[in-house]
Amino acid sequence: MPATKQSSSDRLDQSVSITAEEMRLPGEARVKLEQGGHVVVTKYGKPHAALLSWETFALLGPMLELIEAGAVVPPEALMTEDDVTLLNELARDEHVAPSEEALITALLAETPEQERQRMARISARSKKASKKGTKGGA
Amino acid sequence: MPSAAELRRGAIAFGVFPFAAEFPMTCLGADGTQDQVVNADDFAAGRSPGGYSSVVAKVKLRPMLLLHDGTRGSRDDLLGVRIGSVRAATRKSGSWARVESGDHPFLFRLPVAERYGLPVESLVDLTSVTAVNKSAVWKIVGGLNSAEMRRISDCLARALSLDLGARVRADATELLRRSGLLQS
Repeated sequence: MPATKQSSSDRLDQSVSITAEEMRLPGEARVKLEQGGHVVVTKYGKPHAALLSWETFALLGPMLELIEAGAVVPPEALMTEDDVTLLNELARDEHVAPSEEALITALLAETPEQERQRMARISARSKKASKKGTKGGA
Repeated sequence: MPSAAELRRGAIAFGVFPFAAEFPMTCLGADGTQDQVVNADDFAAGRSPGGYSSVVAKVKLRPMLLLHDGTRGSRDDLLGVRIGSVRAATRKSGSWARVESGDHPFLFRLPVAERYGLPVESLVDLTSVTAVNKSAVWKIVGGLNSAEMRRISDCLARALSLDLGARVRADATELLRRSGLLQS
């Protein structure tokens, strides 16, 4: 199915232009952009925004349009090399952490009554979360 | 093994989860002979009749996220996705910042919390949807809430390249029609 076409004016509404003087990037960041890299802007220690060179943005623009329009994009087109490596490592991970081993041992040793109590606790938490319609987060 | 009623969407369960089959593969013939088969062509050629009846498969007792509920007793399988534990190397990955901030499109982070029932920080891998026989589900240990499952649904739609545009448009049109903003 074709993506819903977004007009150029819609696209312009989602961006704003500022001058380099207004932005005042540190030298290291300017060099990185000139080298075709990107700059991650953090806020309270967490990634908040990213700056790309104009050339990189021009290259990615069509892909961004497709994603914004809700088009079906092949999932691997959304993965970095690091993502692929990490997903492969997770897929092949045969290691069981000591704490997981301990949990499995504890579950094996459960009496039927302890198992019933555990299931009741999980069920109660689930009902409470459903009633609240809670937001995510632990 | 949990009852059908306990196998609910969003439940986190320990179960026997298979690794994806890959070659070379150890295959067992009907007469008990054992062969190392190097590729799918050789497997297909040796398959029948009287060919390979079983293969040695790698599995792991591990946590998984169940994707649907309302399972009927007569239905043998259910769908789940694999949950992997976070290790020191995982945190060093270039992908970790997006995982940690909750922005990764295919990995959903589960910090250690009582309601998840997992002893280590873990990742739901949304690229690993697999059918699991109900008999392979061992113990339910926790679960995700409805808001988290909505996020999982969004990520799955992307990971599986589901084209939901037509359905969303149909739902929106129906809502507009019901509210009188659109003439049918």
